[in-house]
Amino acid sequence: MAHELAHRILSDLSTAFQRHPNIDEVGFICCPTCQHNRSPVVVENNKLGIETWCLELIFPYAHDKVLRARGRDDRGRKIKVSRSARSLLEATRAVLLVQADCLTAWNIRKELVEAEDLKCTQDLKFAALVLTKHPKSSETFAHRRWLLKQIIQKTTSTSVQPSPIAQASHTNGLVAGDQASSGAAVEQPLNTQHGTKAGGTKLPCDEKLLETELTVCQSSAERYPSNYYAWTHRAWVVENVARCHYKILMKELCDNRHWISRHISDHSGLQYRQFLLTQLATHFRLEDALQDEFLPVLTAEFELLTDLITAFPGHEALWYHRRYVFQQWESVLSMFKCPKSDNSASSKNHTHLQQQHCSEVPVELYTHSASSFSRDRDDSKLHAAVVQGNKKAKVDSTYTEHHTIQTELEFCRNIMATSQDGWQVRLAGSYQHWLQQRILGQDNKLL
Amino acid sequence: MKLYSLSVLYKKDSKVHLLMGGYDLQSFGYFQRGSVKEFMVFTSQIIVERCREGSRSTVKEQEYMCHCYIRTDGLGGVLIADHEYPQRVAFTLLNKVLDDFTQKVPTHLWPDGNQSTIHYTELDSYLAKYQNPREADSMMKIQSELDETKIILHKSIEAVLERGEKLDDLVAKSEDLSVQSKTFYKTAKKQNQCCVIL
Repeated sequence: MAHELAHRILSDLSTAFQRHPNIDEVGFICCPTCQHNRSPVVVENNKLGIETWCLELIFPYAHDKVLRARGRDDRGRKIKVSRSARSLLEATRAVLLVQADCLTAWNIRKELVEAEDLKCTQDLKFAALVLTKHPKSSETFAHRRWLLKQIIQKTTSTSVQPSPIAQASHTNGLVAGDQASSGAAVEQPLNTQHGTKAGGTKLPCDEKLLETELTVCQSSAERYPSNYYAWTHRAWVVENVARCHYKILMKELCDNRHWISRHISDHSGLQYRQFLLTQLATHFRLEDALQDEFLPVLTAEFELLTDLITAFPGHEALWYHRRYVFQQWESVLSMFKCPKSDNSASSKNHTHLQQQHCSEVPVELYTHSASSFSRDRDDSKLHAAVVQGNKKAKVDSTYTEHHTIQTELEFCRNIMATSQDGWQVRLAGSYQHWLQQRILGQDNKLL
Repeated sequence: MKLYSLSVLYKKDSKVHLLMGGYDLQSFGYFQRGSVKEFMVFTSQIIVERCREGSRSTVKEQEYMCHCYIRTDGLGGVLIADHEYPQRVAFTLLNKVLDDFTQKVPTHLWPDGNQSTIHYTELDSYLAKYQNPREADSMMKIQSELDETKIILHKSIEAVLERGEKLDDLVAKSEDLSVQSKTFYKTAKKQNQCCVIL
């Protein structure tokens, strides 16, 4: 009896998906008992609602189906793909809409994709829908990454082929599929990319794919504050889909600025920002533009933080971000002042700090560059030599005086003297302490 | 930072009724919005009932902050925001809204007024305008006249309630909450989902 009902609800769900291909949100309707003689599956305004009373019916039923499909596999018996693929799709869909972290169900879908019973773009669309109800489901994001890898692999293998026609038709197909898949509202097109010329500046990825993915991350981040999974996924996308392309990094930095200004306590959003800045540091280092391009970015970052910290007192995340920016700042300056080239040596502490960073940071930057662009490794070695010997090795004095430990300490003292927010004063105090520890650490090393 | 609801209420002899409300519930799930709205109204009403005339208070409930200002003439405003939204801007907005309301709606309509008899449509636009506290106006920097009265801080709605009162009972007794919202409250509480509802 219960099984029959569960089966019927599952097919209701399938009908709903067939009739409304553009469902863009899923939610549960709070309703502990079946009150009306009608289906618990409702579609309104392209939003799918499932009444809560039926969850305890359909979930065990569908979950059982999923597990049984798995059990048969383990014993080596084949699944009759053509017939059961559909029922597996239905069952995994029902399970995942209720419990998005069911890895077994996602794995079955992966097999269906591999068997070409399910298109990557279709499943991306479904995973996006799951995220509207479960915005911080790590397994859903992991599945998306798997799907994206499949798409990227396919695209790169096609683009190697000499026939331009085959390639063109393939990309077209992909774009069309993605257009259909972007069920969630696409907020703004990546305008900056449209001006890109072919050749060196061309994006290494499908723009539409990237845009959809970033939109999915954005809406998940909106749905759950400080959504670690959404932001780390976004970082992965920028690294693996956009291959840390300079234009995308800058565009993301700009968009993220708006986000941060409205979500001042979002640690994860700020952590993503730090990822962008680190990637930009690598990029500008390879371009030999750390001073001309990257220091202005960091200066703007300090200004943004000073502005936000004073306007919205008492938010820890901003203070932590300031520590990161200051560290970046010091490490960039240290690259220009390798040990002996620094003749002014304003203070002993300062020089030593720079030495310390000289040994640390470039190594880190090399490893980054080595992982992302293997052929650039030689360039960066060359570049290091250039930096050491070149007249550019001297950094503009306006920068060295712009932000030092002293100016940062001054900033703390200012806040502590003027702020009426007790928590803000404590945060300023702990930043001050952190700075003082840095000075102390340098002194100790000197001895 | 986000604003969810802004309501104007009238309090007379410890009885409170809603005169007008504006809501921004876009960030909630489509099927939750109805219940969320009912709870916003319910919460606003409870807070105004329990706070004294002439007082300013902020009630923290999970991740929400309910800022409440009741004037000595019984007109009260409640602004429900998230924890990032600056408290001072919240109270400046409440001041402004209550002043504007007094100007546009004659006093004799307050005691028996409700959403259908009172014509005051500014709340939604105030809500939209103040979503970004910095664009709203320059008051971010001004030390406004708010400082005269201290803002009382409560750590939860339970803390505002009188002795012996329980939120669960108030929810169960309420005539303004639908059956669906009541069950919503119960399940959210049972699963200890703090973010589901107020």
